[in-house]
Amino acid sequence: MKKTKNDLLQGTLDLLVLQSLSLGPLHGLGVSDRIAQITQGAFKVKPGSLFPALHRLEEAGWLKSSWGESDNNRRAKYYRLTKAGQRQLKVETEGWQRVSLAITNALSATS
Amino acid sequence: MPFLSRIASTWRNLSNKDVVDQELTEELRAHVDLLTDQKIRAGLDPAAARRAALVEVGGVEQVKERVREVRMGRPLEDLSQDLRYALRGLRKQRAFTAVAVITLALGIGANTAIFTVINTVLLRPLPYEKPDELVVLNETVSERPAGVSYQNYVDWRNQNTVFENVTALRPRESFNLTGAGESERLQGRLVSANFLATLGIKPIRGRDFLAEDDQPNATPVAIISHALWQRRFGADETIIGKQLTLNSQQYTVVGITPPDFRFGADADISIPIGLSAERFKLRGKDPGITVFARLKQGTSIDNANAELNTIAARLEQQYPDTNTGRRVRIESLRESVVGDIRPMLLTLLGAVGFVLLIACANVANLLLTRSAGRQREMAIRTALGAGRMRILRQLFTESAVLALAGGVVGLLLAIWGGSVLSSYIPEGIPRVSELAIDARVLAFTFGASLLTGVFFGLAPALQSGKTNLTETLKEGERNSSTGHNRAGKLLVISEVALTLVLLVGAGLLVKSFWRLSQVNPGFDPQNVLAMQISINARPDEGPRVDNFLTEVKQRVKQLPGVESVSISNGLPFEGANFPPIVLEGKPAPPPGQDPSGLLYIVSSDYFKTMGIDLVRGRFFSNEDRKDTPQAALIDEVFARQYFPDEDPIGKRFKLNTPDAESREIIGVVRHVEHSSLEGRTTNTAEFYFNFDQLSLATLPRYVRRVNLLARTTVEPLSLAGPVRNQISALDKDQAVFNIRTMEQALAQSVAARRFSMILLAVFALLALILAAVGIYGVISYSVAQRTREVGIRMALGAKTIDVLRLVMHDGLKLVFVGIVVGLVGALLLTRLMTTLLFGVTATDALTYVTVALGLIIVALFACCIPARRATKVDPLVALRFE
Repeated sequence: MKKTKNDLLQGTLDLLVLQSLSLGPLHGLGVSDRIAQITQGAFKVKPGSLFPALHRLEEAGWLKSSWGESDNNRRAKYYRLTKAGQRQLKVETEGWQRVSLAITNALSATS
Repeated sequence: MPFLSRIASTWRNLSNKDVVDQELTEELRAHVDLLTDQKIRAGLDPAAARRAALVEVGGVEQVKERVREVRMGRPLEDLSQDLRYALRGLRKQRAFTAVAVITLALGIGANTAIFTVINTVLLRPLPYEKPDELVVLNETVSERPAGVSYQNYVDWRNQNTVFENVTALRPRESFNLTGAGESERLQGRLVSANFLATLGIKPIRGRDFLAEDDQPNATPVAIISHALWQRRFGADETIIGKQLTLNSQQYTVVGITPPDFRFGADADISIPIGLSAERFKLRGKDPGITVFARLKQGTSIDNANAELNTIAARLEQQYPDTNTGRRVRIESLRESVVGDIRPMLLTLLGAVGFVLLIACANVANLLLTRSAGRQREMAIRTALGAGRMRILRQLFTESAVLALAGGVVGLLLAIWGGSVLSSYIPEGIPRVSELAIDARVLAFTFGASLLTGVFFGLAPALQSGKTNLTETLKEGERNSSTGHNRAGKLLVISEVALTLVLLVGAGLLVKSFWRLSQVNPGFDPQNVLAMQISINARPDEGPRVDNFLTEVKQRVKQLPGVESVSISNGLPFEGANFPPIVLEGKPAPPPGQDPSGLLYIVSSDYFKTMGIDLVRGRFFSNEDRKDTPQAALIDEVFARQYFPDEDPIGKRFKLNTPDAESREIIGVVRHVEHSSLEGRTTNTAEFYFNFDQLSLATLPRYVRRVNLLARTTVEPLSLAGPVRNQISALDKDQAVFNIRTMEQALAQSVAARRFSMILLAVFALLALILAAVGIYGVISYSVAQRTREVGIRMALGAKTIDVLRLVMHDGLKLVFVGIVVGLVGALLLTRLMTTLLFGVTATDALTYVTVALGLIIVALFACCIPARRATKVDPLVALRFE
């Protein structure tokens, strides 16, 4: 299966979601908090983007969801990375690094 | 594996739609709750925290819709929704749907029918083994096509290195089958032993011919067709090895060809050509054979051509008398079978393509009118969140459903029309017996339907893109329709233009046909009955034959309604020999330029019977007998070609054979078109010998196939029975066949042309009707739109005639633009059909003007009806309109 054609932003969001789940399962709110945390508040993901992304990644088989109890005893849907998701994270990380390196080089070359 | 996972998700989303949606709702509710908890922990009171959480989520329903949009299976779900919606809409508007489907079915059906013919005739490979290797060898003299001489064929066969097989065939040989059962006339062919093997065809019973069978003194053998085996011999399994009596000679049946085997003219009997090699021994003579061959693998036609012409050059040196200027031209068998018919079929395909385009334009206009009424619906759907793509998809789904329905009905129409048509298809169009609807035709129809759907769906789709939401909603039911009018106008213009091109094409063909029917064939075909009899006689039976024929003539002459009777060997539109001749007292012509002409051997009343005029001298008469000097008549062309500056009467000539008798020219008659009215034989010399002067010894040679002609004062065919009775009263075994009038023979020669003319005319008429309906639709719509305006004008004192003029002016303006565009198109496109025209150029002004005027008149009527309706508008009602 070829990597689906994502535009840059969607690709970035997917990468951040996968990365945020790499340490363990989280529910939706947890994912958006974690993203805010690891990007030092640079990205604030709204539910209107977050949930479509979670569902899309789950349908692609990279995430798996299950209902669980939250810290304060609320029922919530938890997402965790699957094996395929971990591989995808690696692929996307490498891709991102290649692109960002190339862009950085390009920008420093013109300056 | 994202792929498998996606499939699973698609299935889950589609099959458990409610559960999936329920889970999403719960997930989002939990999200809001968690967020609220977070805010409370941050110090807000519960009510404020909940409010803040909801604001941050930004509309739970919108989030849900966005999740739904990315879900797998969404397109499928949309499609089924669109389909259901489209079907519901089409069911509700029965009249609209019926008109659209019928219009499309006519267009698609016509295309399917013509494509079926093209597929069979032009696209499907010939039904032989590796048909691309099969080629036809033609002989030319000084670049002009000529018949192949049998002796040359033998040399080509023996000397070439490029062919796997070379084989000769003499088609249309006729045989009298006598013995067991009624005597019967059969069509057959003489073939080389390897005829079937070259085509890769094996007999289904018995064996193929062997090389030994193909010799002058071999035991006569025959291969019969499957059809004859079934019909005449009741599929008798023991037929192989049995004897057949053909033309009074015994033949042993050795094989049966497969049921679907066909090659050129129909034939029930095949006989080795070598048995009658005696007939073909003259190198200078064209025995009417066809030579074809199978190329060795990897050899091109060009290579074969080069080698065969080297051989021809060698033969030219070896036999300068007969072979000077003789060359070989090789073409593929396919080209030789279908080359002539291709321009006609492509013209017809173009014509039905135009009909389909016009049908498309009409349906597009219907859809436009319909979508104008639905603008409000579309606007509301847009306001409720349907994306532009979503609406476009909806519109195209509707178009596709319509188009496919049209396609299905069209296919049925084509099947029905095909079965009706096939009974009218004249002889001479090759491969018609193979006509069938196969997978390729179905694919064509499906593709054409879809393409059609996209095409006519485009107009309303583009239209919907222009819809201005607020304007439409504000305007209420009274919708702005300038866009629709513009599109409608474009459609009218293109319909008129397309129709004009078609009408001009059809007009040119009709005029060609009319011109052709005006051609004077040189004889009077009215009231002439013709039939063929075939007499098998041994060389010593001359006196018997002479008595028989004399008796036949006398008996037929005495029938009431018969004016004159004649016997002939050779007949216009039937066939005649084309022997070389020697003009006495003239210097020998250069090699390869021997004079020759069409020879008709006729009894003395032939000219009276056929209505051929005398130019000078005299006809044959009863004074010319076997014991008086041999006489000959020549035609104008003969006189002009061979006696340009002198009086031919009294001059002498003879056939170019060793034992030919010299004959004196006693008269010159009018030239007769021999095989076509299209002038292919206008410059061919003709001459006549007197049947009554043939010696009793040679007579049996000339009666294997003679024509009996009668000029009648009554309907000729009504005498067919009586004449036949007279003949069988004389000899009950005498077969009489090919009974027809000379008028029928003439009509037959132009049947293919007539057929294609009628087809094209039908398509043009269909186009005209569709276009008229289209114009009517567009004008009606614009009149309806302007009811209010017309009402005001009339309230202000406009008269009926003013309103009429107003509406007609709008309509006719479009028609005129269409006509100008169409005229240009016709000038460009009819050039492609030059080969189909006769006696008229592709730019024939009269045709163009007539057609344009006719189209204007039809358009006038189409505009007139809605225009009259406009004048009936009651100003009071109109102002209250809406």
